[in-house]
Amino acid sequence: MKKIIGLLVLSVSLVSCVKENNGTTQKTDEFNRALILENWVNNLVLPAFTDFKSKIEDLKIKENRFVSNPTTTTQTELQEALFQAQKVWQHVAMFELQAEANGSNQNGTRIYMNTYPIDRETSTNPFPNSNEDDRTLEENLNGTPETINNLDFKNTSGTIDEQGFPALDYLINSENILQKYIDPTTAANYKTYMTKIVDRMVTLSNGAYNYWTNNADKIIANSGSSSSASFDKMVNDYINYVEQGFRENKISNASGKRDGIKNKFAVEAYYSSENSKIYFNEAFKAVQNFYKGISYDGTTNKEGLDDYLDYLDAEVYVSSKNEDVKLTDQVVKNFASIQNTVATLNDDFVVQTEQDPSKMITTFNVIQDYVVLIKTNALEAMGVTIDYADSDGD
Amino acid sequence: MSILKNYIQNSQTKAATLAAFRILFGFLMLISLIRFIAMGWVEQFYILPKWHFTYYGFEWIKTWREYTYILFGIAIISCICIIAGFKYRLFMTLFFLSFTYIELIDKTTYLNHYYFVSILSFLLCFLPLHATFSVDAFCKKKFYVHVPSWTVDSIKFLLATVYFYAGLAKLNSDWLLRAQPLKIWLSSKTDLPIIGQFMNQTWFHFTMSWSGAVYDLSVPFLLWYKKTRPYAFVAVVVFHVFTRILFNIGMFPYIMICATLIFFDSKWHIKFIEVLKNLFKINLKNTVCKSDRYLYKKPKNILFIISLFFVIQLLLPFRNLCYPGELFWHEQGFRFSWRVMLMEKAGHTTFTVKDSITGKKFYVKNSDFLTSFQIKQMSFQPDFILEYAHKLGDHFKSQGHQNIQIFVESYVALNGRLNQLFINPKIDLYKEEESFYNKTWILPLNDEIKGF
Repeated sequence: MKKIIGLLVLSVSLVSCVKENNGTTQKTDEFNRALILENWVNNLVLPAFTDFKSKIEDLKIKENRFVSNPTTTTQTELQEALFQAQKVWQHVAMFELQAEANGSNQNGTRIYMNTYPIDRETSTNPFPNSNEDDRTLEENLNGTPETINNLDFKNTSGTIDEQGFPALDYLINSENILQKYIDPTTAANYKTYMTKIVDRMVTLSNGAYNYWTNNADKIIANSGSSSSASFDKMVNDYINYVEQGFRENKISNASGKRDGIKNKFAVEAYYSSENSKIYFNEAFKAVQNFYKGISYDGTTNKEGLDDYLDYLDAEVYVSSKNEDVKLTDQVVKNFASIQNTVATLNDDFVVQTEQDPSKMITTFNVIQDYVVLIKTNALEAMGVTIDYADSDGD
Repeated sequence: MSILKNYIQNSQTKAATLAAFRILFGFLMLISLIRFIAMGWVEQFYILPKWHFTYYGFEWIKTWREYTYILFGIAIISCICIIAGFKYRLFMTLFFLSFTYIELIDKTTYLNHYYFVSILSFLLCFLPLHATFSVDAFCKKKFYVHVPSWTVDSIKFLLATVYFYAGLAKLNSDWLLRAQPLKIWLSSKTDLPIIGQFMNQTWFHFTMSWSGAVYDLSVPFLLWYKKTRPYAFVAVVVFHVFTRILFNIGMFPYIMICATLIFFDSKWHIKFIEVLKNLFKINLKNTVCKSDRYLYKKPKNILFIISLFFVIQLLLPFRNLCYPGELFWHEQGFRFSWRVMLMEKAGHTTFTVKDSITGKKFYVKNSDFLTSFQIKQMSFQPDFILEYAHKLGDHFKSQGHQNIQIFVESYVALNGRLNQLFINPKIDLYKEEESFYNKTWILPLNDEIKGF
């Protein structure tokens, strides 16, 4: 009897040493995850947000200059500033931890910064894919400076596709747009709207920047492995980005992969679509940097998902060859085939979509291979769960 | 035949064994239920989801939404009454019904150990766990000393079945020759103190796999024989504590450790009850008289039900033999058969809704309809995929869409294999119906898993 009680006590005490995996506990002794987190936060996230902040500040300066004196010169300056900011944007778009920190059901930064196509005239025409709502960008512009200033871009539903990079792209890059800022019947509204949009972008950029700089240490310290640990959350955000921000928005929507209807308007930066491939390639670089742990400036390659997977000896069994292949080798192949496929695309995705959307669909397919590999084999190996309750297993 | 007859009619054992089991069972269930509520799972699993995945034949079982807490309340009250032995049969039946109802609401949360609790509580409804040291016995002023042996043995037999079948299921090439899925699960646990250093080593994965199989297959026998029993119990404790440390498996280890105590000699159970009496200062010496043996009023009926129950239990886990292809892949006959911890499976599954006449199609965002937990479970289980396809079809039909076809693009990775296409993407799932027939729209696994 004593033995049994002893054993029971022993077992209970042993078990009670183990953390209850309910999503709130933390462990700090996970060597690898902490190193990766440190690398991500210090060498990717913070430098990228710092650069982004400066690019957005520059955008604000150029916008000021343009609004006070709309000429071809100031327009070109603003266009260039927009291009530079949107390039850097590709490197911060996947980092959305601040969304959750703002409270549940809060949107992140991405949805406000870069939802496209814009809702220009009506909900269904000429953009069949735009978000359905009553408001349109043209309607906003047809108001008065007062009504424009009273627009609430944060809390009113249906405004996400009337702000951010896509709206600014329309306001500065669309055909004969300069005239709108000179013509006295439209100038006031256009200027007010542009300022409103750029100010909103400054606010969003500052919010994200401040969140990351103020919480960097806390985020790194939360290095355990549960659905509330930083590593799991950042990986989840990453996958969400690769699927939605990268695969769907940049490629799938225009290609007609989902609905069978090609849609050139859904290309990122439709009014300056000569830059669309550049944006895609920047985003692809960011997707690889996160995985490989390459710093934002590209100078160092420290701990990333690849190092972790290799540390875990993660392999996939390929039954057709009857051999175990290193998971990281498989990813290398994925990245190479994305690279090769994108190389065949026109620099202007609008042209590509119009001429041959099937190549866009091929691009979708090779990105999909990566998504599936990460979501199934890689997440299993790292023990990361896709956002869901840490319920019991068998 | 006469031996069996003699065993059933005359063989007897101490009633204290059943009383001790009753108290432990009620106590553990009480803790489990309270823990479940405290984790916020009632809300997450039964209130928040828009849709639930039902069991074939049990589609009529619906969530009670906020009132699901009432079901938990009934189960909790039942547990307290079971511990006290108050109106035992009524509350054991209520516990069985409420617990099983909760489990049947959504198969997303299916776990073998919930199923075990359900069928064990079904069995317990027919056994005299209140024969002694219970409020019922106290009210009748009769504490039985003995109960028929078969009552205790049937609990032992159920436990033995669980272990042995779990062991049989491990005799396959993935488990024994590739050490999967333990290799995947253990490799990321290197942060554990002391044992962490072994977690990423191949010999350790194989040692764990093989010893797990040997343990499951042998432990029922080692527990049954008196000489090996103490060692077997040490093995039980070590095994379950180990699994508790490594995996996120909730109350299951405690339930199994406590349940196996029933194999011990009844003198331990008598002592356990004495300890409880002293602890709670219960003095019954002058208030109740001891009566020798508990007798069933209609033993034949009870024996018939219990025999039928065991025949079903013994056969049900083999129903997978009716289906061609890889069991782990198509999962037809996988549940309710003690196939525990055998698979690491993950999927990526998306749906397209198409108008068969105009050819118009659109893509479904799973998170619009399912919780992330449901998406995870749906992504690799064919019966979930089919049910979801129908729910989607019905939903869009009610929204005015016509000529609906539902197609799925699904990739699944099983036990460390590279992911592959899971469901035939050209099949309109809205036309396929759930049944016990083989699901031909599941593509075959590009590999063979040998064994059970």
